[in-house]
Parts: sequence; structure tokens; C-alpha cells
Amino acid sequence: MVSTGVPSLDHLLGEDGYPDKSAILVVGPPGIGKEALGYWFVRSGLVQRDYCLYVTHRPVTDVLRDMKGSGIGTERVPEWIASSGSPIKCDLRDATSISFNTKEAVKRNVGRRIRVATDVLSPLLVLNPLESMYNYWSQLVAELKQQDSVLFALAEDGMHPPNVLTTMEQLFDGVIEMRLYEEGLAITPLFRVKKMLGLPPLHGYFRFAVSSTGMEVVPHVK
Amino acid sequence: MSSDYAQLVSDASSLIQLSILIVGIGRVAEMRKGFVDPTYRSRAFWSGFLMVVIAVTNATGLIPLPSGIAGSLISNLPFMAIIGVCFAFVDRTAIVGMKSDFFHRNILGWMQVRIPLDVVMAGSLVYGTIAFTAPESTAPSPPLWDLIGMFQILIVAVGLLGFGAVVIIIASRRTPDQTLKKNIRLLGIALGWFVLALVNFSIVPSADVATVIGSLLTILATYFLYLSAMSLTPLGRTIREESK
Repeated sequence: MVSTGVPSLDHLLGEDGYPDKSAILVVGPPGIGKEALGYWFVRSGLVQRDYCLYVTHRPVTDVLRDMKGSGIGTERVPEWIASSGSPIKCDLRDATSISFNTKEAVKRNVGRRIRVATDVLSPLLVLNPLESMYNYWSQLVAELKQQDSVLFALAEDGMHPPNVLTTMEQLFDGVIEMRLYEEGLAITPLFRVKKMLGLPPLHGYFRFAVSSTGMEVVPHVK
Repeated sequence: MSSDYAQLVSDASSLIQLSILIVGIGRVAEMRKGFVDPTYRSRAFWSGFLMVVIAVTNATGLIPLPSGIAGSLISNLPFMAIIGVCFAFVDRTAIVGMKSDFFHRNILGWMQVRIPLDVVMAGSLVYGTIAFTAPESTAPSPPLWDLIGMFQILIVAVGLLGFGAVVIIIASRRTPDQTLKKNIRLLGIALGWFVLALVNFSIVPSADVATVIGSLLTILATYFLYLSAMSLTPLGRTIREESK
């Protein structure tokens, strides 16, 4: 198992975190804290000396600033495939090169445990037809899972028609949803595990709070 | 239509708007707490702040104001604040729109001109406030500096808000974020109702009829502003989700 980097989430997922050789999708609207979950996942990997790769459509400086804002030290950083500030560029108009470079980076680190975090899923889904993206991600997920790796992908809620995300969710072993929920007039940030490989369905919602000291996940009682 | 009836409709409209705005302000504050990204926290803040300013403007219409400069300030400052907050909100929305565009394209040079435009808007609001509240402004023939002060605010507000509106329309077309598109569309509808309410006072000959029409239009505007604020992020419903 691979630690999520968030102890309360590890506990929720059966003490150890995400399953080995799995692909995890986190779905949520912009600004809700999906990236923070990705940062904690990568940080946990860096602490455990795993090989960590961050594939992003943003500049490295933006991601580092966000990491610092989430209370994550940047003395140890992952390898980058980013729009700028990294030796390997992430060009959203060239999906093939993103996939090729990711797989090459993983191949160079065979024998180590590998963590790949990425935020390019939604941009690529917007810029390319769903059918080709389904095949693209299906192939990438399958190849990464042949190694000792966990893929952690972020998807933007509200950016795609509902059928697009439902289709993509089928490719992933675990799906976590984060969003704001209405309960009467109150609005609460909640989190739920829609599915997770090796776990029975986790019913119910969990409150989450992201702060500079970490992330807390507690059961939500109405 | 009697003046009493028109006044009653106007007061009822203010109370309805205040109710909508108070619920909206509370809910936006909760939404803001749910955001982690400072950009989206800022969007929620400006939505709430605009609603606070409109609520204060409505409240000042329900209470008797003192005469003199104090009364003039209380009655004019909220209007100035609405223009200023609208511009700040347009600025935040434009920046979020550009940030959510995958290619981060700068729209009509907004990133370069926003600071100079902020300065022009701030200067215009200060000059306009002085002109509207100066004792000379109520004289039968106000001095030229006062007339210019009262007139320039309209030119600057229409010009800068119009430019800002074009920028956010382009931003909404470029962003792949359906939520932002919906948010901007609803905000645009709300602003449209506000403008219609203002125009109504210039074109309807009877002041009482204009008051009634204006009251109804501002309720619509306030409701769409509330809907726009609620569309800052897709909201789920736990009960509905569980029953699936």
C-alpha cells in the first residue's frame, strides 16, 4: 500500500493508503483542494524515497508556491514535466509527448516504488475527443501499472459533461470526490470515496479541512 | 397610482432584497471557507462584498437620513461603493478567467492595464464623492468643477465597466470551466436587470410607476446576483446523492 500523505485518509482507506499498482482519480471543482491532496501524496513519496514525478500544465514556480501555501516544504521536490521551469516540457497540444515522457521517466526508475501525480487529465479531455482520450489514458494507466507505481490524477468537476467523467472513472481503481454540498441553507466541504480497489464501498461523507499543517478528514454527521 | 402605494412597493422590494442578500452573504461566507485556492476564496469574497454593499444601499433607503453633508455622504457613498466593488469584482473574474484558460492568454492587455485602470477608477470615485457631497452641489447653478465631478463618474464607470465586461465575456468564452461560464452569465443577467432598473427611471414618465417597475426589476437583479454567487462552484446535495 502507498501512503496518501494524510494520516486520517490513510486510516479511512484501511490504515495504509492507496493500493499498490493502482490509478487514483480525484474529482472536484477548482479551488477546493484537490491539488493539496496531490502535494501530500508526492511529499509522502519523497519522504519515503520513492521516485516521484509531477506532470502539470502549470509552471513549476506556480506549483511550488501552492505547495508552500499548503504547508509543504520544497527542500525536496519531485521530477517535473511542466509547462515551464522543467527540463522536460509539458505541451498540452502534444498529448503523445506527455505520455511518452511520463513512461520514459518511469522506465528509468524501474526497481523503485513510483508515484506519478498529474493535473493534465482535464485539459487533455477538453482539447481532445473523448474516445481518443479514453484509449490514451487506458493505455497509460495499463503501462504504469505494470511497474510498481501509483498514478494520482486530478479531474475538474464542472468542466466536462457528466458522461465524460463517468467514462474516465471506469479506468481508475479508486475515485475520490471533493466538493461543497448544500444541506438546507448550510454549505459544507465534503469528501467521499466513490470506489477504491480492495475496499468495500465506503458509504457516507467526510468533512475535510486543508490547512498549512496538513489535511484532516473526519466522518460527517448530519 | 398613489405615491403611498409606490412607496409601499419600494419598501417591500427593499425588504425582499435585504432578505435575499442576507441569506446570500451567509452562504457565500460558508463557501469561502470551503475554498483552499486563494483565487477562488477571493472570488467568493468579492461576491459577498458586492452583496454587502447592495444590502447597505437598500438599508439606507429604509431609514431616515440626517440632512447636510453627513446625510449626503450616507446616501451617495453606497452608490460609489457599488461602482468600485463591481469594478474590483470584474477584475477578479477576468483574472480567474485567464488563469483557468489552459494557455493563460492575456485578454486585451488586461494584465498590463488593470493597475492604471484601478488608479483612474479610484481617482474618479474620490472626485465624484466630493462633487456629490459638496454643499455647492445642491445650489441652483453648481460650479463647473462640481458638474464635471458628477458627470465624469458616469463616463468613467460606463467606460471601465464596459471594457471590463468585454474582457470577462472573452474570458468566459476562452475558459473551459462550465461553472465559471455559468457564473459570469448569471452575473451579466443581474447587471442587465440593474441597468434596466436605472434606465426605467429615465424613460417612464410617471415617477410612481417608475418606482414600482424599478422595485420589481431590482428584486430580479438581486435574485440573479444571488444565483450567480451560488454558482461559484457546483454544489452537491447529500440527501439526493445518498438516495441514488
